Amino acid sequence: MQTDNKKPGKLLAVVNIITILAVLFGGAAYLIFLPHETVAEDENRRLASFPEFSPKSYIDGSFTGGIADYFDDTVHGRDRIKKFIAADITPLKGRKYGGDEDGAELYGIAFEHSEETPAVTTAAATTAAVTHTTVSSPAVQTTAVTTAPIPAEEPAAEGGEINSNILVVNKRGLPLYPGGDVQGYADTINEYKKKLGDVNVWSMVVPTAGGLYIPSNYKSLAVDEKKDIDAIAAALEGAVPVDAYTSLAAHKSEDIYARTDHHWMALGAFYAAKAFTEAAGLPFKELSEYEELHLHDYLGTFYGYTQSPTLLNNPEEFVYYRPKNEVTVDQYDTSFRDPLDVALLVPSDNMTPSGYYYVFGMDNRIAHVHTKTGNGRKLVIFKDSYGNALLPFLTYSFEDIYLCDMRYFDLNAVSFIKQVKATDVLFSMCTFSATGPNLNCLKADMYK
Amino acid sequence: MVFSRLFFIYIFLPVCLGAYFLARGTKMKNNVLLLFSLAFYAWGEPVYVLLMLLSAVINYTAGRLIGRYGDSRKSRITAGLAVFTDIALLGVFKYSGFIVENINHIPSVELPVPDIRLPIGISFYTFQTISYVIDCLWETVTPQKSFRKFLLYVSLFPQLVAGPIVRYSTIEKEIDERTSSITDISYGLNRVVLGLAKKVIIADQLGIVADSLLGGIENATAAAAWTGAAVYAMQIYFDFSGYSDIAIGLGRVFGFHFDENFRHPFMCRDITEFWQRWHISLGTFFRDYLLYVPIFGKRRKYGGLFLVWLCTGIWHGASWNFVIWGLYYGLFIFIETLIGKKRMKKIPLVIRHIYSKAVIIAGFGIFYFEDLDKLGTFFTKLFSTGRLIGLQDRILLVNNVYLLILAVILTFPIIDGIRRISQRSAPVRTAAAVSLPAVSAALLLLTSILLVDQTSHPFLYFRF
Amino acid sequence: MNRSDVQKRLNSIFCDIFDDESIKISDSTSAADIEDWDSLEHINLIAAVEEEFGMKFRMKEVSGMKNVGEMLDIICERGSK
Repeated sequence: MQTDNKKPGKLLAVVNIITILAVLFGGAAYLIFLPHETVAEDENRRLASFPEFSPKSYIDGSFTGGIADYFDDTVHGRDRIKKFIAADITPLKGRKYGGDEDGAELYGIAFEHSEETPAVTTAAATTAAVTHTTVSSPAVQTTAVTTAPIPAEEPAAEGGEINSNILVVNKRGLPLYPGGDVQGYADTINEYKKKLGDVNVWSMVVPTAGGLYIPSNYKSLAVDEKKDIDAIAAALEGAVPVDAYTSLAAHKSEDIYARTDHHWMALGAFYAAKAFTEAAGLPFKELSEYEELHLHDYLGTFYGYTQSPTLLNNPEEFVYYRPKNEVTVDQYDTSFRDPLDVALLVPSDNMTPSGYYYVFGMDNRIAHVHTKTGNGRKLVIFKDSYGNALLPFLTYSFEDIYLCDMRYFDLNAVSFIKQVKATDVLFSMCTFSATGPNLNCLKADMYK
Repeated sequence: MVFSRLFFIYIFLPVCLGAYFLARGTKMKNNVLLLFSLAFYAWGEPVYVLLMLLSAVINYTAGRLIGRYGDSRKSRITAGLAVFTDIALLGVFKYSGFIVENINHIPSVELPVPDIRLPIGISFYTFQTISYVIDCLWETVTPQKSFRKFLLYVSLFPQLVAGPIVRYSTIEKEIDERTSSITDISYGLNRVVLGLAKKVIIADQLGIVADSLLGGIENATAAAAWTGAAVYAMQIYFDFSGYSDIAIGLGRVFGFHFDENFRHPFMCRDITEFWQRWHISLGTFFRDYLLYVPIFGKRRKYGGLFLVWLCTGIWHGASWNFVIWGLYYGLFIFIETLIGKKRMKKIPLVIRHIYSKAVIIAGFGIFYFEDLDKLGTFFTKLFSTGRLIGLQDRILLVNNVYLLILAVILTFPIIDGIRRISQRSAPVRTAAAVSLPAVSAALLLLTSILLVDQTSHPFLYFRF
Repeated sequence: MNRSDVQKRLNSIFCDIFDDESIKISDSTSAADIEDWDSLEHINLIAAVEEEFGMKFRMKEVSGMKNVGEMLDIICERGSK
């Protein structure tokens, strides 16, 4: 920064001023005159709109603040700029740990489950889970999109979110399981079984990608999901545990879990459904009885959260399956009212690559599927979002299936199960939901 | 409004610069600046702008009265009342919640906790008005006759929301008569870009690392606690000094010469020196107006010292951790005073550097943890034994290694160094001068690109 | 009061406070010239001067004094011993 008053110095100062002003005024023109974006696909929300003036909105600052937010939020080419940041700027911050292409990146406040102190399992893990749990910000909710192409964000459920600590390694996002209330889950299922008497009660706790794919040298970053699944199985009384872990682990080399999303893929759900129907002694059809559907360039929630260049550069193929048999599907609200006739799988037209998972439907509706199986078996599923992908693969096994999300259920679960004359109840969710904050919803559903 | 957002850089600033340089004469330029300053403040505080106006009216009137009464008892009473009102306003709008919460700790006291939102910048402009009134009383400045000019001093948007605390004497002459030379404008714009880049490219990115390291303090190792606090210290430095750069730069563009607020604080050799290099305008404020208040009798040296550090702490925020933070620094400065400058100098330089950096880093831990339980955990972790560094910390540090190295390098006076070298070597001088516009433009563009991402609402929490 | 007398007495206060017999003050001596003369030692200096000359400085003087010359002026004007 020369402040030389000699002539060449002055000339350079003029050049400098012109350059910076060119950027400033060029940027102003870009911001003002180029078309504003309206939707952020990767964040699943509608961008800020120009605020409406009212005396109230002026006084509370939301008018002026809204104008600034509008300009900041709707920059032309926002999506491309963001991808440019992820692909070309973020990698400049450092290197991947322990490898070039397949090395590790860490996002969030990872809690480390120290190998050197194996004695403190549940107690320490529970504290970690609790301290990391927060209710989602209302700001995100209010900007949620409600129009067709992008599904509305799910309404907040009490204690429904888990802080996402994500390890990206081998081009795959892995959620780091913090452990949780294993006994609490088993107690809850046992209580359900007691209240339900003769109804078959099944519990299928499934691992997340972290539980299956975490390389051994990173194991200390998370609690062992398999150990908690086994501990739950051992603590169940009357309710029957279904071992999905072993089936899934056997097919680890296939694409059974999303690499850019925290869910499993339909194929994973297929193997889990197979394990369940085998345990229940029910008919089950192989994939040949399904139509295979493909969506390309899927970039799921892990990318949205981490903006990891590795995930961005490695989008995946989203594969799902439609049963060839005929089914009728009715969707209800969380109090089992207002039925809507819908398709089993939501049409994927107009869906953006980040929204593909919504082909399995939303969590905040109760679905009733009636099939032509005619075997008189009626199943009620209490599930988290993993459960949605199970549904198509059970349509050859049950005559009626009621799919209920434990977080969005406003009736008494026990009365509901009895009311629909269920023969079977399946509690199916991932480890985070079973032992984490979602467990409170499952408990509360008994007493509504 | 804050500086580090696209709306400010690309809408507010170009419009303001355009209007300012189209206006002819200092009077018109002052009007333009005043208008934009009030708009700037009202943009974020459509109601509290009235509070700032009220404060300006009170202190302006006090200044006029003091000017009329001269060196008399009436003047001292007027100044006393004005300063009392300033502190009372600050007390009500910044500290009432904190005060009432603490009073409620007394058994059987149940006062309703007032829910008052902190007006942006009140800590800064209140200190400016206090310094003005006292300077009027001490006759170091002539009371401003024009309310418009006084209001401009109080509300001048470059330094309004995040300092530095500009003394009236600094701008007394320039508010009446000033010019922006070509080199002033060039220097000022570069300084603004530098400040924005420090804030957005360095500080905000460091923030992510610091939060990752300190967020799970319960499970942290000693290395994570130390590194986390060190990264946080650098984050605050680049953030705060970046804001000061923007303020000083904008001031220069408009023809004002503000004093420097930071002088590479991490280069210090002891804690006393740290505070001569960190947030200088606050330190000199307390030195000039508080340190010599004769309320401690014979022992006022140390009384004054701890009073200053108590106030420094409280000034930073209405929370106990800030009180502790202030007194913590006071304690180390007290110890250094006991040792004495001459004996301090005899300690090897390396040791002084290690000591001062350790104290500063741990100090920023106090600044970070408002929750006192977590603060306690932090300190036990600092001195915990066992595993030196966890796997997660190793991954995080490797993932951010270039950012961290860059940040550490930039805490040194790099630009001064380049300037020194270029004074000796003509080719370097030419190279630096010629590349400067390109470097500035590139930094501004990079900053802007990163700001596009700032409104992102990532899936902070995933749902199963 | 005799200004050069005052300066002599003041000089010995300086030597005492800053623990340095080699200090020779003049009107233009300021905090920049004496290493130990920082804002805290300034308090001790002021207290010692007040005691020696039986007078009180005002706060604006304590805070605003730029060099020894200004201090001497004030002492000569108001000092009582």
